Amino acid sequence: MGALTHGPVDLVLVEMSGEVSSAAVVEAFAPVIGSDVLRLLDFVLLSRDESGEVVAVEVEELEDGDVIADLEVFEPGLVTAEDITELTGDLPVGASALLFAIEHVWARELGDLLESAGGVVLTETRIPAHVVSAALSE
Amino acid sequence: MLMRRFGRPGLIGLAARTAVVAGTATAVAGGMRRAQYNRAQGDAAVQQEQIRDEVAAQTAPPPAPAAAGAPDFMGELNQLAQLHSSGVLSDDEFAAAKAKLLG
Repeated sequence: MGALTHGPVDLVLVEMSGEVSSAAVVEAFAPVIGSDVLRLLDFVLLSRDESGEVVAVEVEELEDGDVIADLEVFEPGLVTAEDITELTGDLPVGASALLFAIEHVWARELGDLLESAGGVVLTETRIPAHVVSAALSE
Repeated sequence: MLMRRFGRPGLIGLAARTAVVAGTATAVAGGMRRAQYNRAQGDAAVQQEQIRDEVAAQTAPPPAPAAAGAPDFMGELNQLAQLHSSGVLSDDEFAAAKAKLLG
């Protein structure tokens, strides 16, 4: 049993604009999270109100039956208030966003194996999907 | 917000600071990317332990606050010493930074 209890986590902030419904966004994520590959550790609805304050609505505050209320969140509260402040710095007044903390479960065991083998990850760089797609369509 | 979101250091800051300690901090400036890797710290077990120590240090309860108006010498000296021992600061840089801090 290795030292890692979790894999690396992506903090994904999805802007909610115009007609986009949060239920639709959550439903888009649903097929890929809650599995051996990816797992939803934390989730929160964020918005900046008229006074400039960032308001958070937690999953537990939603009514049962709401597709978001039914989300299985494995480490609620993982993302701190400090992180939320940093991530929502550019969120304009009146705008809202959904924050997903997604764990790469597949990478946890890999991390343990790598550590046992004496391997050291030097850097990890995320290239956005649009960039890869554009680069490969040349 | 959930109570659990308060009273703990942010994950984003922890990730950035442990990268510095482990010697894997990168700088992106003017499009150039520089990865810093200290061969002496290349042992994976050593590096992982450094990261665990750094996170533990960050999540430890804060020390009693310094007297009002007094700069936090001990805290800053500790930070400099950590950066020096992990290879981020050279001997010269460390000596210069220490001299500057102590005036």
